[in-house]
Amino acid sequence: MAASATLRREPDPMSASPPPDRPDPKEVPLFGTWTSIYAAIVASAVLVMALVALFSGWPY
Amino acid sequence: MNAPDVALAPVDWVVLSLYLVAIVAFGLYMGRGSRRIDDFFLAGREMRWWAAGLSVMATQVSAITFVGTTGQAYTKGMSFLVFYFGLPFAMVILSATLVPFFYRSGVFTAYEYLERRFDSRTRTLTSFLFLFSRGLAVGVTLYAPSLVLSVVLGWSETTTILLMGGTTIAYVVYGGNRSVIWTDVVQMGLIWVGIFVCVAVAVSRLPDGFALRDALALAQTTGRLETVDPSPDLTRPYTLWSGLIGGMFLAMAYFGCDQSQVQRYLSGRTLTESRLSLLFNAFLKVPMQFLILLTGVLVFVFFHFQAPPLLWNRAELGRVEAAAAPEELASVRGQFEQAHAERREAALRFATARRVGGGETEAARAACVVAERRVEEAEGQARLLAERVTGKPYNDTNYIFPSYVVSQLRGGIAGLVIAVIFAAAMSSLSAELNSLATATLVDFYRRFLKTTASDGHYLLVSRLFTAFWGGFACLVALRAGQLGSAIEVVNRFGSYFYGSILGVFGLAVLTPRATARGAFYGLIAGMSAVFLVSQTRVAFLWYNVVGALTVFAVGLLITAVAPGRAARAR
Repeated sequence: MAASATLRREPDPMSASPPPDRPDPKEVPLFGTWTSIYAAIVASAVLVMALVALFSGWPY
Repeated sequence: MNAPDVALAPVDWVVLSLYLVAIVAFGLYMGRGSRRIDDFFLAGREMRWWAAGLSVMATQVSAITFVGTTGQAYTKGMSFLVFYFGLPFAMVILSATLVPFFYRSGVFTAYEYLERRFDSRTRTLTSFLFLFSRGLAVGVTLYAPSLVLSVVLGWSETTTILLMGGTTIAYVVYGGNRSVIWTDVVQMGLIWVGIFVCVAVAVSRLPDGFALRDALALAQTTGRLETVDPSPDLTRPYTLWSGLIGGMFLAMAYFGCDQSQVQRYLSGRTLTESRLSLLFNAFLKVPMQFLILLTGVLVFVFFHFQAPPLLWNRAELGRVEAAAAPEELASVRGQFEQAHAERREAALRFATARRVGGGETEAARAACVVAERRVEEAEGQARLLAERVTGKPYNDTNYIFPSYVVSQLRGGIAGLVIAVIFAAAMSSLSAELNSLATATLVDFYRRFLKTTASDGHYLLVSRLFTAFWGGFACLVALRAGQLGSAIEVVNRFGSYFYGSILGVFGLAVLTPRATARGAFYGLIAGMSAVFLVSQTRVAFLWYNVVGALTVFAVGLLITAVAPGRAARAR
């Protein structure tokens, strides 16, 4: 317990590497906005699941 | 040394050798110039989204995913696909929550972030759990494909382990994460080529007059195409709900809290690139697994028309042939061959009936089901004989696909597909070694032992840690045969805390008031809850849900009952 208390009081001596000083693009390269890309992923996931269900039950 | 009765042709050996030489040379070339630990651990944070994304994908696809999944599709069908249904949703959640926190805080490891948010105790415990589980699992990553390939290729296990491990260690020690990511890109490209080649070859090897449609109808008749089971039963392993909910929690835990994955996307040039690398996987992962499973199903149909071996593990088959009573072996073999001959006839009649149409089709379909049951009974008898002779449980699911490749594919394609299996193993192994070295250096060595030193010193120690973990992986793999159930216990132990660690990260980013005490004791409570649930018949995909929700609930409760100091920077 004593050891853990000591650990908690110590600051993290490791100076983390700062993220690169590159500006994050305001616009998402695909689909324009994050909301659009998330919506596209959810829609594609639902579509893929539906296609898989169709594949399983298709009367070949 | 094992002696297979089928062997690779010279052209296949050339293809496999070319792959091994080229990937090591490429890894060394791309890893040149790593002079700072930023380069060694995060590839200088200059990766584009597609490179980091392919690396994320390659890390997740191990050799056992490749050979085990096809084997599972052969024996049980495609129901395993639901395991990946929750993954796209997990990627969206991670991209919107954890990834920005990790990236902006400039951490090397996911656990480092927990000290910023909570305390060093929580960081140390989570990082230790990662090192413990991943450190032993990396031995299994190496052992499992080596075991299969040694039997199929006729090499000793030691040769296969040292070849696979040694080549990977060489470029990871030298080039670090930059080598890992660029070799992953090539290996993942090769894996995709291999998947399409396997599907194309499996279709082309169907007998004349037996179209792909007939093959799918036959697979459907025997239940091999069933994927979506809407049952709410928590004890069934692969239902729609366990895949969607349990699979989502598992994917969040793996991609969000396992350093072998976090380190891939922290290498992105910008936060946007890091996020896109994960989202890229959200689009491609389910279709990729679908194609791998479909290959297994097509191999299953192929072996309706080609006699399969009595046992897929040829080394065990040799032992059974040498030690079993001749009359008993002849009886089991006779039953096996008879059942397969009947199944072949039933399949051909089914295809003919489908072409003719009318009422014959349903009768032919029913005959296929009966014939399949007889084959399963005969295969069960063969397995029982193997277990009696060898005195240990027998399961040869992982041998089916490599045996098919070596015995049926020609003209360098077998060499290519074996190279793909090597690539799948090496891509996972390389990322695991790199992440184990990172967590050891950043969360322990640099945190507790040598807090200030030059980049050159840390780089040297990082390479030593990478070599250490590589050697450790080879040692575990070489001894895994004797460890037996210990390995299984270790793997099972991993599933106890995966979801619980996710719960800690959930507390960190979703609840500004959660305290370090709440996170730490929540983690203990989560692991305990998962241990209790694992004693019941509840399917393993639900463990992560139980662990994460317990940590979250207990952490919030402790925070409310015994509030600690104010939350640290998020």
